[in-house]
Amino acid sequence: MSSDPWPGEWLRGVLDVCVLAVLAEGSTYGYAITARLDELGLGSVKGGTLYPLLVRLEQADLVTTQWRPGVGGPGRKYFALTPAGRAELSRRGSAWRAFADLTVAIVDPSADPTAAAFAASAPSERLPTPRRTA
Amino acid sequence: MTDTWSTAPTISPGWRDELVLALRMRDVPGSRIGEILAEVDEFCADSGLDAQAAFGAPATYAESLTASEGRTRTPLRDDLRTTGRALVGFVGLVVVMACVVDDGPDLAITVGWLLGLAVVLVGCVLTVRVLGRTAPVRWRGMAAAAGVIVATLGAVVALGMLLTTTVATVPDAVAVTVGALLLVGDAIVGTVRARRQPTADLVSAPGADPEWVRRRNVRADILAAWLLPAFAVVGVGILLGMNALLDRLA
Repeated sequence: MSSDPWPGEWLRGVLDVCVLAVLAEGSTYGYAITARLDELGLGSVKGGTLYPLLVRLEQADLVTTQWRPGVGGPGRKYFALTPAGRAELSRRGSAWRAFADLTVAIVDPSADPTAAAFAASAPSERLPTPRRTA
Repeated sequence: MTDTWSTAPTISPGWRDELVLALRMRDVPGSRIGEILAEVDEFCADSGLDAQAAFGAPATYAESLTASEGRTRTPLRDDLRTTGRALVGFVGLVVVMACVVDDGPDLAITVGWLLGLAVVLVGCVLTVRVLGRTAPVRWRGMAAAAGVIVATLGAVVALGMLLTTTVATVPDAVAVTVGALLLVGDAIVGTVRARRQPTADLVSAPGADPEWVRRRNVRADILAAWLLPAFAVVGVGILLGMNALLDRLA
């Protein structure tokens, strides 16, 4: 999935919201999205991972596409965020921030006062009750 | 697969063909396949990677692109109609070739012949449906289709050899005329249908002129419609030539 050290299962969970965030900067094309994600520290995402994700975003009406002719080349397919995509980025972005804060608090309780308070709370208050599965 | 598409040097023809085949087996339209190829072209040209390094194995990539799309199966009635149309020309071809091979003045139509035609029809429909059902797993689909084809051909040969009771005899001249009419008539109907509404769906580049794409699809359909008559002409020519050669040698 990526040549960088982030585990693939982490990237699978976060890649769609990161791609939405890159597209929120302006409409752009496939390799530019990969390059931007790499520049932001996420690693080098392969085309085989990126394009199926973009297909799913387009099918969900979060992204629109447009082919623009290239100069002596095959042309470029540009991707742009729709209003629904911006709303989804806002919603998923907030959820990720909360999730990231939570995981930081769990992994490193001394990192900040909020985390310390979280760590000091009773385990039954901070962890969901395990579900019994059949 | 009779389409043309210029790919960047980074995409090997083998990788491209495998991807097109994998997408075809998942019923992806030609225009969408053209778009996917253009995306691969663009990404490889920008990144400097080859297609295998950037997109992985073609079959896996095709699967990931279509994973979220539900597969639509052709109704049985459509498969029967398509096969039935093809069978008209096929019967014409068999009749013409049989008359050329047959030494006597009349063509004997046997029970085995008639049952064999029914078996061919069922075998063709089964092959199409087996491929449609098992396409996502490529080797399994190919193996199942190959099994159906071998079983069909075996049954047809066995029926022809075992059930030799003659149902009717037709003079060769009449049989050849009927066979040729079936062949040419089927091709003419196919040509008219192609001009009205082509069923071919060649791969086309993003932004290609729709009228140009339609013309290519019409041409592909017309070519397919005249394949059997062309095959009959070549086959008859070869058989007559061999007969003449054997007569001279005898």
